[in-house]
Amino acid sequence: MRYAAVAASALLLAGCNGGTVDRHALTNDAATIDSLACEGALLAHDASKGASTTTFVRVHSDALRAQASHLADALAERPTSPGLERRVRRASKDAKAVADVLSRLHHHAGDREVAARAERALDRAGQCP
Amino acid sequence: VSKVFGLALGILAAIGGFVDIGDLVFNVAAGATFGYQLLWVVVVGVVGIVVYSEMCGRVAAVSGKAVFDAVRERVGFRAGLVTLVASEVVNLMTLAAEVGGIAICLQLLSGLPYRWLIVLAILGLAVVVWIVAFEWIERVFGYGGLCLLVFAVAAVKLGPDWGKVGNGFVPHLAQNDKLLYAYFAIGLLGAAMTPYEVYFYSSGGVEERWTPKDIGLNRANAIIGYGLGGFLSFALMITGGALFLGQGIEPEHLGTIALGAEVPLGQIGLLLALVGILFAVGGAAIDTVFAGAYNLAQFCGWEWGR
Repeated sequence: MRYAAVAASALLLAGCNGGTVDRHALTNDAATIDSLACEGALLAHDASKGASTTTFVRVHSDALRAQASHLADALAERPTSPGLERRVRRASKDAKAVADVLSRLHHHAGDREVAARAERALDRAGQCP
Repeated sequence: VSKVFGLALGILAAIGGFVDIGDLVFNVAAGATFGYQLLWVVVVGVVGIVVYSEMCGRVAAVSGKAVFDAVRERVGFRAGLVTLVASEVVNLMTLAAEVGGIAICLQLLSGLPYRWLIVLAILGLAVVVWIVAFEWIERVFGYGGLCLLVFAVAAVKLGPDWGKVGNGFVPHLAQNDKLLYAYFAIGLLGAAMTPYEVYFYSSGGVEERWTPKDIGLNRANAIIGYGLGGFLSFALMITGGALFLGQGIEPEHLGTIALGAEVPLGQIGLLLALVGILFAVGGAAIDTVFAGAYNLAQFCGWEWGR
């Protein structure tokens, strides 16, 4: 019983940390970073045109920022499969860059110029269509 | 006139019951992942819930018994108790999700801290359930939830490929990502056929004192009410497919769903979407509370009612 509890805890902790980043996980995480960037770009676009509300831009950009930031932290710390470390750490930096832009949008939600700059930066980061 | 008001029961069940937090998130996510390919699953789900609800409503009209009255009577105490416990656990989990949805929606509207809004949402629900007359709950949440129709306008304005939308209604299997496709198909069926909708619907029939003469009203309620819910599900999935699929966006936040109305319709689209989500999720939370209490009271033979 005790061993089962220890094994379950270990599995849980490994799950919380996300485990080792392999090629498949890296592809998924990179897609998530692009997704966050492109969604942020859509939000910033509407903010720059005055087509959103300041509150919505502030709250939603913060939710996206938090997710990008967690991803950046996880990708910076998690062990990686052999040969992938450099790409994983670069993905972490990409996620951090996206989180930084979303943070600016969050703090200047009513500023259309900041929003326009954020849109361009996020578009580039996510290579949005 | 009374029949028209009677139909409001179906509309509340549709908006507050059919379109809840699970439907909102799952339909948009399915659209963003597979485009319009899973529209046929929503049709299957709607037919399922219409058949099940109509059947339970008919039992209520003919026998005057709601679901858990009949369960206890037909399958006995032990098997009935297992069903009751399972139902209440599912109800509680659903309620937690709906309360979280209300708090997020209020946060997107007000900018206030999320944790405080959870407390406010719980208190608000308690006050509404305890104080407000059921007729008003029915009207306010039922018709407030109709703001979700903004997603139908958004879906049209986004200019989807209508040929592909039409193809989505033809049942088919995915060419790739079969497991993910199956996951979404099962999830969409589960979201369309959540149990509390039927408990609430059937109990409502007993409370309205349906008789065999009301079987036609019951059928109209089930078909129109859940049909409207299904129509909104189509709109949500089409919005997800038309806006998010091409951009590679994976919707993981309630705000992303509102963004689906904001991008094509601007501020007014955003506000209608948030208000609609608030009322739909609030209505679903109230349905869940009532359904949980009714189930327990019916099973134990206690007095129950609004």
